[in-house]
Amino acid sequence: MVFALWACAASAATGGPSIRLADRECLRCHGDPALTRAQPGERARTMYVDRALLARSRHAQVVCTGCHTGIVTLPHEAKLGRATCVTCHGREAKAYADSIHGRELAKKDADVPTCQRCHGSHDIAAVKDEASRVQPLHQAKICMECHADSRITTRHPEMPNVLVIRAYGDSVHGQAMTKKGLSVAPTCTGCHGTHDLKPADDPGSPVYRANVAETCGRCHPGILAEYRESIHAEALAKGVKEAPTCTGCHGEHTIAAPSDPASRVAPRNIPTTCGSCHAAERIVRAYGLATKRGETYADSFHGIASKFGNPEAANCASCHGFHDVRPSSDPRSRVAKANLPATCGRCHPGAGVRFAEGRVHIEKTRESAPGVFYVRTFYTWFIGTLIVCFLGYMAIEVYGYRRRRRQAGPERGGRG
Amino acid sequence: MTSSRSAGASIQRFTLNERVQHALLMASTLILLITGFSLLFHDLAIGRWLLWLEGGVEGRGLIHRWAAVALMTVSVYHVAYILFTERGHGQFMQMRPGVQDVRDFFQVVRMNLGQSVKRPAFERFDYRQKFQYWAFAIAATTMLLSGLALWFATEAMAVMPKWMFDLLAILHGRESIVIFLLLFVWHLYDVHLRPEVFPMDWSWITGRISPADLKARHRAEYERLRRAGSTDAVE
Repeated sequence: MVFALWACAASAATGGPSIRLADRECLRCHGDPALTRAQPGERARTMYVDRALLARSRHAQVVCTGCHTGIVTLPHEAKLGRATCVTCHGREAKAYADSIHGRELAKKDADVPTCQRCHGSHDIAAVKDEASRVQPLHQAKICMECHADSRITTRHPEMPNVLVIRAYGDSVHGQAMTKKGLSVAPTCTGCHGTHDLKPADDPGSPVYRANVAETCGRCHPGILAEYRESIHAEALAKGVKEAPTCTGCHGEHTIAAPSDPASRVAPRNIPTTCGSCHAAERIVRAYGLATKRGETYADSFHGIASKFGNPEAANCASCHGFHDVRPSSDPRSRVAKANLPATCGRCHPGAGVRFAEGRVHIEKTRESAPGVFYVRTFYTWFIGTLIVCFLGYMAIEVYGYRRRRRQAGPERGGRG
Repeated sequence: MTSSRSAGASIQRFTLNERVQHALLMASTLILLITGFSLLFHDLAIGRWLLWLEGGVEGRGLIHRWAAVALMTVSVYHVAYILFTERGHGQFMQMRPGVQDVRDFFQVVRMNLGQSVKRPAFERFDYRQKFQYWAFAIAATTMLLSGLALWFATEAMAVMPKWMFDLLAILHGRESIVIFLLLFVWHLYDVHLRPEVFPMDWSWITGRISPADLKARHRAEYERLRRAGSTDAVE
């Protein structure tokens, strides 16, 4: 399907299609394994074409001159342009030309991948073919040949960090591909696009912030439907740039299943993940979010149990929901007053309407929780008074004991 | 042996039954305090270390609740001991606080400050011991009741609002500090550091007290026993 953009450049450079030639005429020279070409200042390159390889390829039926254009006489010019793909694969060529790769290639960047770089040349196979270089199961390897090569990324500081790229291999998506052989799991192109690939900050990219949910939703449509109902999606649509889309909570290349303890959405890490916005003073203040949610949770039974490794302990998402999270003022919210008995009741079947009276996130103030406040204040004074009384009593007894001993004189000594 | 003057002569102060009650109470309360404080001070390194030692929050909770069962068992036994045994009932009746205890307290303070030389003649339990007993009984009851509500959270939630539940949680934590003070400051001072008994009042282990010590510390009881003719008896 592919070899495209070279076509534009190549045919422009060499001009026009080739004269009609039978492959056998080409192979008269190129069928010789000893055939090489040495351009001035270049190392000798083999010009041999393995007929067997070609015969097994997707292009077995394509004549040499179908791709190798610009041949007008024989022997042809010493240097032909690169093989042309656009003749057959016009749509892909067009998409490529508009992609970040195509745009960089137009600037004559030699590091940019062309059709052949990803798809192969004489050995080209259909994408679905196990033998294809871009078959999903091993496609990531092709991207990483450049994107995980620090020599290339050093030359192009605008390229993403190598470690970020490599993290994909350990992600739930990468593992699904490599460990479970699930070719439907997303590989690089699954999220970033293929020929039309664009950087994440380009609004045309499927991984541009506003497009992320739709992109993930292509495989996770049920979750997308839930997310669309959430306050986060609503805020994002209104242009709140901090509002999280899928990747805001789940991560990108590092994405892991919630059951993985390292996941940002593992039960134990949820408070930290939510807290990265809901405990960030700037965001809390800018959008009038409820304050002290994280610290009041951390101080609760749920928070302590979760912190010390009980995966069953309630975290933010257990009560507030996750993809469909909504503020408590919304009657659809799981933490709306009327829904609290049901929400608490999921873990505590006894919790009734009465239980839901009073606040859940209690602060150390009289307004937030008067009962707790008065008990706390009482004990502060009570404990302080006890300490003073105990120590005072002891001091008096020891003082009396020493006094009596001094009066009794050294000969008696002993106990008072 | 009939003479209280002879070496090793002693009077039984606590029966084996009472000493076992004390030992069980001590063990269960210590475990409860340690496992409780590891939760109360989970923010500090010592709390985290204790939690690790106890096998995390799960293990901690398990140990804490088993120790609570032990404490409840010994408490119920103690109440039964008071209600249904003559010895227990008799001991309890002597543990009742009275106006005399308040007078004794002020007399001791006056004596220590040098305003009087008269030492009060204490009965079997002096005001310090009565305070210890009753303060602990009240604190332990508070802990058991609030602790049960927290233990059976799901059942408790059916009948109480969340604010009451939060209140009990705070109460349980704060009251544990009161118990700590009662035991580690007051009680340990009373039975170890007090000049009269230093380094330790051994009667909690041996169950016995020498007539001389009894006379010095519980003169009223000593006189009463002497009148009854039992101070010479070495049981």
